[in-house]
Amino acid sequence: MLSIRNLHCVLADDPEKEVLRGVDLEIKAGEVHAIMGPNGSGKSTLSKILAGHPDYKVTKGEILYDVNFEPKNLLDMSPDERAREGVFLAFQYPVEVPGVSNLTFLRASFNAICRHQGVGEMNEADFRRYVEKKSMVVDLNPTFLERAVNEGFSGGEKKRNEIMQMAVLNPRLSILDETDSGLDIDSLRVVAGGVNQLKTKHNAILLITHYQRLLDYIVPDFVHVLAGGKIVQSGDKSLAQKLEKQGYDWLTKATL
Amino acid sequence: MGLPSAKNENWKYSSLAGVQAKAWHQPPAGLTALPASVNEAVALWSQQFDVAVIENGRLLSDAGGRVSAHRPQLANELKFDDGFLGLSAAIFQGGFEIEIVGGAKTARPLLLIHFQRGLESWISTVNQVRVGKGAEVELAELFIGDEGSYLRSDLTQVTVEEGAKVTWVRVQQDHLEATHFSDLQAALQKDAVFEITQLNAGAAWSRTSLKADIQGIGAQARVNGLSFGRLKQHVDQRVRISHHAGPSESSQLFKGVLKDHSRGVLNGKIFIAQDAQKVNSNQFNHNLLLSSTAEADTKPELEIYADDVKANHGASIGRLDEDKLFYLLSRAIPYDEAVHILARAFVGDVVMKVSHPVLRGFIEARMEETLPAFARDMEAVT
Repeated sequence: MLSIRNLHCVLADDPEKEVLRGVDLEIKAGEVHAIMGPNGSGKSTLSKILAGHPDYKVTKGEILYDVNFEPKNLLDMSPDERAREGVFLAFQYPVEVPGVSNLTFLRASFNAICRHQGVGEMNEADFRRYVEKKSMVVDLNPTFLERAVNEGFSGGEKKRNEIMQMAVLNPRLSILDETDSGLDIDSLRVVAGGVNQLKTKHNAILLITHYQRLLDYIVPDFVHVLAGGKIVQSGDKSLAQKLEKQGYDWLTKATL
Repeated sequence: MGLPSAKNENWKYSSLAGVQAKAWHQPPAGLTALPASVNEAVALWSQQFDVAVIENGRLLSDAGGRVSAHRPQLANELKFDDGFLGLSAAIFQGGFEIEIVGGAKTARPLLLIHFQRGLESWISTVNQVRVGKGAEVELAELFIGDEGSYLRSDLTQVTVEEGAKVTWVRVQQDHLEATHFSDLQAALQKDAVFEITQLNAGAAWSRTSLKADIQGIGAQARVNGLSFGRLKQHVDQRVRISHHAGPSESSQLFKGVLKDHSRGVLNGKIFIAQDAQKVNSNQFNHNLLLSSTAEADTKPELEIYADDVKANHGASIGRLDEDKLFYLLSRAIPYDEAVHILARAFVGDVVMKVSHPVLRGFIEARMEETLPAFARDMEAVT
């Protein structure tokens, strides 16, 4: 579904600053991958590049993503096109959008995807019922629909909202950027439970995380360690446990 | 007095050169059917408003007798502080009068549709609104036109008597080739409440003045505005709130969205006389620039002679927030629609200040006529 090959990137406004230095990654439908790594290793950068964030510029390599069973270069697509083709980024820091209600936001989003897929748009009443059902996945009170997007939401509510959006949009490739950060154990359980409910054999999930804790709740098929802008080690879930015990030092030192 | 030039501080940002360069004339006489845009607006809004239609200054329908044609002597009763207004009043061809008797509370709001047409025609109107003691009225005005290169000058004098309440919205969506002038002066007596919200989206060149003269204690003036400029539109808004009595209150919230080579000007003045103590007033102006070539000029002015008053003001000029934009894009929302949603959110608090739900619905609906053009053909984001 996703094939990242020798990906290099720099900061858009500082081309001297190379963040990714040759990332390779293959993800197939039905798989859960986790990318771990020390702070500043490029984990979040990778997730932002997949979503098309303008802060980064790819200088080398490609990202192939299956659209209608044909690999397409994701880098040729605008952020909104990628999202319409089923790429979803759950933000590490979900953005507050005062003056725009969650309902307006979600409906615009959902209908954009419906139009793209040639499916009829849903009217407001039907959409409301649809979202209320989906909000149960992460135990969000449906009254949040009338509130402005993420405005005044607690850290936990923001993360739940991201997963709720994922439930509504039903993406093929979900990238969860440090969805566990800032969550207490109860919220983590709810959010992880939500993600697990959304997992199918047709979609794939890429978890970006600093801690092994999340992986106790969302069990990955593959774990990769990103350090110094490269994947330095890949393995199964036992790699995460090893990192939890031994830290990243043994890996980062090995690459040096 | 003569026509003012750029040397006159009040005309610093807006040149009358375009007005002087044309040979203005009277629009052709004779009746032609009103265009669909007017008939459709009448049909739509008659469900919630009593509607009057004014074509080229002439009253065509009077909203069931609630609006009457102006009296010719009205122009002599107005006072002007600049030559252009004086000239407009001198050549006036029409206008309306509304009289709300003391204590009256009307069930339905009133909508005046000002329709103008005629190439290079100049129509000047002089209007009067009197709201009697303790009365309440809700008014909406819509300025639209055809055969675009016309000039409209619209002068309105308002008296809000003791304890009366006026809620007013003015929507300026004149033809994009037109020139629009308007000047509204309201006198507020004791405990009067005057709320006016203006939407400026039309005309190639517009200059709108809203003046509230607080003459009685306890009076409140809430003057708000929304402006949208694109192409080469020039949108000049002037506000003057004069507190001659205190305690009294005034507030101003103006927001502008500008793109292409448009220019928005806001000159907002708060005047507080020496014996107008315990005045509470504020003035805010925020602008969103959607193109690097658009320009906003904001000029707050405070002229305060009393010592026990509160007067706050603030202004800002900014661009579309990249983080918000990316968040919407990452949720599959196409670029144009994302800009549309964010621009609407930016001006949303001004719309929410319209206290009457029917008037708020009206201004919202008219705003949706303008907004899509703002979201289209935006500069591409990297």
